[in-house]
Amino acid sequence: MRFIAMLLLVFLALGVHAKAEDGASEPSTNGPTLKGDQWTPTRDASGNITQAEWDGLPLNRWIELMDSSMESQLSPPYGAPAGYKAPGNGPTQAHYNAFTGAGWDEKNGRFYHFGGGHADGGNNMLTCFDVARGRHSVVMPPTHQSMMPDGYKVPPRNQNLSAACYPSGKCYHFFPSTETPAGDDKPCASHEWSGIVPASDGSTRCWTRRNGGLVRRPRKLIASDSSVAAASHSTVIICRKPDSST
Amino acid sequence: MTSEGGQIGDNNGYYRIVKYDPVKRKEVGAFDFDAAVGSGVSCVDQNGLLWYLAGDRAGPAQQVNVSTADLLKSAGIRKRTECGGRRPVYEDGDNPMEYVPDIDKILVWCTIGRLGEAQAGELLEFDRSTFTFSLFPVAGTPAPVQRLMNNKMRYWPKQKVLVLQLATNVNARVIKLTK
Repeated sequence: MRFIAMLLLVFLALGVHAKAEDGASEPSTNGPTLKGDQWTPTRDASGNITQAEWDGLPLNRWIELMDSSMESQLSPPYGAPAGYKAPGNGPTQAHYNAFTGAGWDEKNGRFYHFGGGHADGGNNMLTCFDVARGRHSVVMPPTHQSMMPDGYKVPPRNQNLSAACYPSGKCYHFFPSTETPAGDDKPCASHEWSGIVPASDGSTRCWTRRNGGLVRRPRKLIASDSSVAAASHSTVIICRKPDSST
Repeated sequence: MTSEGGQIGDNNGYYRIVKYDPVKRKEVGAFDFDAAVGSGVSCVDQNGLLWYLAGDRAGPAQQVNVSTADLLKSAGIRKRTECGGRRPVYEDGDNPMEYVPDIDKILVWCTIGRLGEAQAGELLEFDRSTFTFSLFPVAGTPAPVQRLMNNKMRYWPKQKVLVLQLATNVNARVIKLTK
């Protein structure tokens, strides 16, 4: 009897040891899943990074959230109709780096990106990076080139992708449905610096310039698309100067 | 209150801060702000004070200035005041900054360094009483430095992390600042 009990204890001990050795590949319940400074966190059933992962991160250390770049998660046509091709010299990367900041929803931990402009890129999509999930989503797909006036679509001649000029002679900072070909009323891509803010808390502020008439003011409100994520997005306001040249 | 970054290059240094009501969809107030010539970045601290850091010219001889405005009183407070210490260089969209309430500090990520002072990739602390920059130690491998960051470095109070959105093809970075 004693021998059988000992044998059982040995088997139990071996089983626990084997499980512990295999633990690196199992979901973490007690701390962050780090390999060096690279973080591939465990997510719960809804896709959120677990609280144990956040709680266990070391203090004051650079941590790389793996597989979190926009281009690793989103790809053309970004929800636009097939055949979409953005005008500009670097349409995808310009979404972040063409003099572009981000709206920050501090409560929900979400960045909102809207960029491009000048000659850099004509992709006017609005994207969201949900930090809680480490996931990007397209909130507003870009305008398909079939809805753009001809002159707008032809780089490098067109160095001002922030304005769409029509055969009527009128120029707009969006693609108006009243013009031909019919537009979708979405704003043109534009350098935004830090002029993009979620308006959920009613405390929006915009920078302006006093002289020269280059006053930044809200030109276009972008409604949210609540189907993108579990929780609805905020309304995002893009502030831009009315005579924008960039 | 959320903080809004600001960055405008090639300007005359005079600004107007506009309060905008997103519900009414119109401006509901404004005041002038004698801030700084050149590119800069801003954040808002726990007292509703807007801190605007900017360089006065391009190049290694650039002087860094700070200006402040009281958003609750709708008034500019401090005009261009020279900063010291371990300074970065300010160009378009460089050196994103953020006020972190849980540690009561303004942090600046240096994206352009200068000889003998801040180096690109360092996280800096900006002292609001002495107007000086100093190193804020962060271990590990710094994120690859990106230009034109503007305000893509933000603090998320819920998880007490600083989050950096760097480029479309670069992974996000986080820095846990307190438990």
